[in-house]
Amino acid sequence: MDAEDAPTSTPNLSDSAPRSARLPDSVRALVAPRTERDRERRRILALCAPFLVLAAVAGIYPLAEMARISVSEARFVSTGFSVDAYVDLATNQYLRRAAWNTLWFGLATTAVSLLAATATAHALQKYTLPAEDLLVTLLSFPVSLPGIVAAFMIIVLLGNTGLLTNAVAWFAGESAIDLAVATGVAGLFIAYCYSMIPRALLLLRGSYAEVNERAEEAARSLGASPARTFYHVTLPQIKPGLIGAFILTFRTALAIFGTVLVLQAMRVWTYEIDYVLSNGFQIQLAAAMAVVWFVFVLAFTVLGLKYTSAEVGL
Amino acid sequence: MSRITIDDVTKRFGDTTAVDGVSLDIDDGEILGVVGPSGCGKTTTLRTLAGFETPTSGRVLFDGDDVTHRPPETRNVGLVFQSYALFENMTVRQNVEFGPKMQGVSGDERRERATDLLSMLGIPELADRDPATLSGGQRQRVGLARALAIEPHILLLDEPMTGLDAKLKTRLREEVGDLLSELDVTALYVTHDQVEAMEMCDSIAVMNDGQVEQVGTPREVYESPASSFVSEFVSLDVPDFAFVDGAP
Repeated sequence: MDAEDAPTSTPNLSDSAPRSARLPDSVRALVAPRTERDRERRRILALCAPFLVLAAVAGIYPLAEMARISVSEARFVSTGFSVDAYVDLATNQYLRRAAWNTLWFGLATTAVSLLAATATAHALQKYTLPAEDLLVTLLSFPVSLPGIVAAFMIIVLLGNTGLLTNAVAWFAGESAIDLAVATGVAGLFIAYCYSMIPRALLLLRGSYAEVNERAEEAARSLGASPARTFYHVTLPQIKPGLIGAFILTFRTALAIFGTVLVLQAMRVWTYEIDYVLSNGFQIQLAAAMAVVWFVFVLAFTVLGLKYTSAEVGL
Repeated sequence: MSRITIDDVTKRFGDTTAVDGVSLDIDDGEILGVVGPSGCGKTTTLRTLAGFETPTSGRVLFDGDDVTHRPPETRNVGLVFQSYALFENMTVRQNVEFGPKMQGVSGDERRERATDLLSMLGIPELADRDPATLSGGQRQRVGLARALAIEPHILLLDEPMTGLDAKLKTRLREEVGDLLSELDVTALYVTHDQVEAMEMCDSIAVMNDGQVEQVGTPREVYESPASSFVSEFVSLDVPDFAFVDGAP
């Protein structure tokens, strides 16, 4: 046997195999997909990758850091472990009042917003309205307005020199200053609804578009008035949309800040977070408040979705 | 049941005339079939009878009583749709009891009516089922029971067999025809299927372009068409069929 023909070493299969063969099956299926299902998984991963990166960098990391700060012993460095901020949260009567204000005001404005949005969605879907496209544009416009601008608009309308205030004062023969409600609870209520109704409307219009109008007509022909038709036939069909709108709108109410900052009619959670940061940089307390806010909203959304068939993102 | 009169009814939607001077009489217990091509105005005529469209001109009378401007819920009209339009949030029994409930009928009587109707339609075992789990034929029977439960002045059927398979359609056609005759129901049966109308109806109105071209018994319409349109429409692919009077 020639030296050239003699085997120099035993062939190593793993060396000659493609590198991807060394990867775990699940990863290999993504790197070198062989089936259509594998290719589909790879497409899903590619489509979701930007969001996953964003969620990790701008969501999960800051949240974890915020939770860490809330139990830090030091203010400027996350060190040690202390639940003082949470004890402060539980015992501070001003913060308890802010929590209560946030909840009742959020629920009340959500209820009113849902009522107004349901009525509007009903009108938009059931009837041919003049200048409907313009109307829809105007109704959806506040979604893109910052809370501060919404508050400013309320002042322009309902403040001491507001258009509506002065018109009512002129008709009633009273002082505009006495009638102005912009910086009171009523003004804040209207400003909240102004921001929340379009959000509820977006979801409810989608639900209304899927309502079986023939079933509504059947109910009318069977003797149900329009109100009873709505209650027995329409409402069950839009229920998932209503619950979704409730979750979305209530979360919006809990998160409103700019409007409260300008109108200053009531101290709510977001305002208090800003306050504790602006006054003495109580960052552990602010972080604890943010953690409580996040956990509450997450639990509320998860429970809301668990017990309903509503389809709304977390 | 009642005698129904549509008196010179015209319905316009903007510049479009959907129904143009239509006059029809439906005798007590009669089944009138309204046939014609798509867009001829037959469904608008039905909706005008039900109260969902108010005529631009003309009148609708139930037993001589002018109901032209009455809302649908006060007309006591039973509606059966092609798309069934069952209340998916209710059981079959609740669907059937819905009309009587809206009319203030007592609970016991409602239950009795629903049980009787479901038995009559051969589906008593479906009473507690969710409508979503039923087949097309079963759903259409429930729709019919629901419409009949209010003991309507008139039963309006809007293409109720469209979408069903041919075999089921033939069977349902016979069953529903027998049932309506047995109950002596006054009915308006809208369909684009001339064979269906000829087999099930006592008389037929052929509509074209918003107008009634001819009204007569199926035999009259088939054997003596009043216009070339009627002749063409009823003679299209008509296989062997039995007229409602049973004569060959």
